[in-house]
Amino acid sequence: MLIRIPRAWEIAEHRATPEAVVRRRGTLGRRGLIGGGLALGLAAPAHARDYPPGRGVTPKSAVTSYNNFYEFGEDKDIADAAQALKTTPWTLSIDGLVDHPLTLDPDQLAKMMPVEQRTLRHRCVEAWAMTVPWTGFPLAALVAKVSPKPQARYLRFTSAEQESMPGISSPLYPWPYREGVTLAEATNDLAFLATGMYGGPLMKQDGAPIRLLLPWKYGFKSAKSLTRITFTDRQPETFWQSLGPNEYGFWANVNPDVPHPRWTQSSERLLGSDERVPTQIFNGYGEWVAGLYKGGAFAQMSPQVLFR
Amino acid sequence: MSATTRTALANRRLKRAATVLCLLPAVWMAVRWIWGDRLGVPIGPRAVHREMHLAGMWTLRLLLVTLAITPLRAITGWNRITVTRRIFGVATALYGGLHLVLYVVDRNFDLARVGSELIHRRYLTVGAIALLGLAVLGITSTDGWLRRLGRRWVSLHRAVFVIAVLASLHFFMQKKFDVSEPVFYAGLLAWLLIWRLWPRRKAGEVRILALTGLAGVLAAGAIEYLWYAIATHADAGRIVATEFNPALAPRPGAQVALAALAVVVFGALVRLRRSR
Repeated sequence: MLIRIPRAWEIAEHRATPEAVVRRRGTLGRRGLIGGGLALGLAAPAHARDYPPGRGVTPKSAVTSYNNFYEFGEDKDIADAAQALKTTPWTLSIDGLVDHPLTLDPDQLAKMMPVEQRTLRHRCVEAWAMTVPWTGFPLAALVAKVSPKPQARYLRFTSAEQESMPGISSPLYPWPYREGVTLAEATNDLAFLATGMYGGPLMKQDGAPIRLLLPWKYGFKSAKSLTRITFTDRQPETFWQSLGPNEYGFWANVNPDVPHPRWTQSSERLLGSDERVPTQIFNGYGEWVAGLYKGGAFAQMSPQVLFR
Repeated sequence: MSATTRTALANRRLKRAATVLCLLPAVWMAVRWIWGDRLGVPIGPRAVHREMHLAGMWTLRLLLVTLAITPLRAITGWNRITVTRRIFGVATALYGGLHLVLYVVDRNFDLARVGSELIHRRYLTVGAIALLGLAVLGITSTDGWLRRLGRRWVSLHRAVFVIAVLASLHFFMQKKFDVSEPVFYAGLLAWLLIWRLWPRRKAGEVRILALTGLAGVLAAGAIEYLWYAIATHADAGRIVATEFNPALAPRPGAQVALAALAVVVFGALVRLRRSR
């Protein structure tokens, strides 16, 4: 008799993506073409419908009143404090192992980029979630613009550190906020840089003037108010990783079957409706990103590393 | 009116005042939940979760208030205050119960999941044991149980000190990283426990208050250092050193020191008045 013990990260058969959906992955080829087109400087068509949110959009009032932004305090109601953030002038530098480093204003950047609207699910590591229509452009388009050198393997994101931020004076945290992804993750079409939300500007408490969105990872990976993106050959140490590597690791991919050491990740509370819904592996974006974690070093990686 | 009736009346008033005090946080929590948006104090999204945290905070605060009644009596010589201790104690247990109920509501009454979480997450196990203890003390707080248990009642209710330590630990363990608030409460708790090592007769003296207050401050510092050193990857020494940085808002150890100073001054004033 064959006894197969499922590994902790495996999802039940009934929760797997239906084959018909998987077959549509043929469209990936098309997306690859778009990526190529970007590299050649061609305008990319808007493909907002490619990532169906599958849920109602969260009311804006909830998205702008319930925020983790430790630079402004440790509670969720930092929206008022965040208004002190000085967003003009603002420069974003893209540097490190690239052929064409850039330093420019986020508005200028958005004008150079194929701007589109994307409604994405956002899953916080604290087991709450929201669905937000963002305006922005794929990170891949920016990567193509600066031409990474062959040694570049990772991107490090650095958030703003301003005197306007009351949390910065807290002696506990190693400011500024830092995050990181692999080049492969950065060039996946799903990785997004947002400069707007709900058809308007990006609110300060949500990371104005420009923020990262990695919707298949826990929310803390999606760094806010970016000032610098550095291409490096080494895995960058991230803000939360330096404080609690067992709880907030580098990969932090969403997985309902790998609990946070202190709570289950099996379900999430939706801001707004307050519904509790089951959490999906890769926050439901597995169809587009699961392939990033196949083979090579990932084969030996434990789910506690890849999903925490 | 006879002296006994007067005493009974005064005790009843005192108890009523304590009951009202204990109800205030719950009333405020309810007001914020229902009318918070209109009053400009919105509870925000995830109201149940937020209320659950508030109930937990008030459990710990009321537990410390309960433990502070005996020292307060020793300082002031106001013996009647003891009649409020049972009320604060029962209120502690009720807020603890509310904390648990709100947790269950937040988990959509999924009792199987609640059970498995209580077992699998250490901080929840610690909290659950503390709650179980509070429930036992709450139930056995009646006159009937006092009579029935006799001497054993006192031994049983000494468990409150262990429960307080567990509740404090639970508070530490559920923090993401910054344990400033838990350190402050742990410092107060340490002070209340250390103070009890002195014979009651002497313990109301100002120098004992100052000495045990200082011990509470040192305990807060030690706890702060040990927590960051053991439970996090942060530089614990650097964090404790910030206790002495006057440019920062008072850190938890300094807050305990300020609280101790206030109590010592209060104790000195009371002594001064009584000696006249």
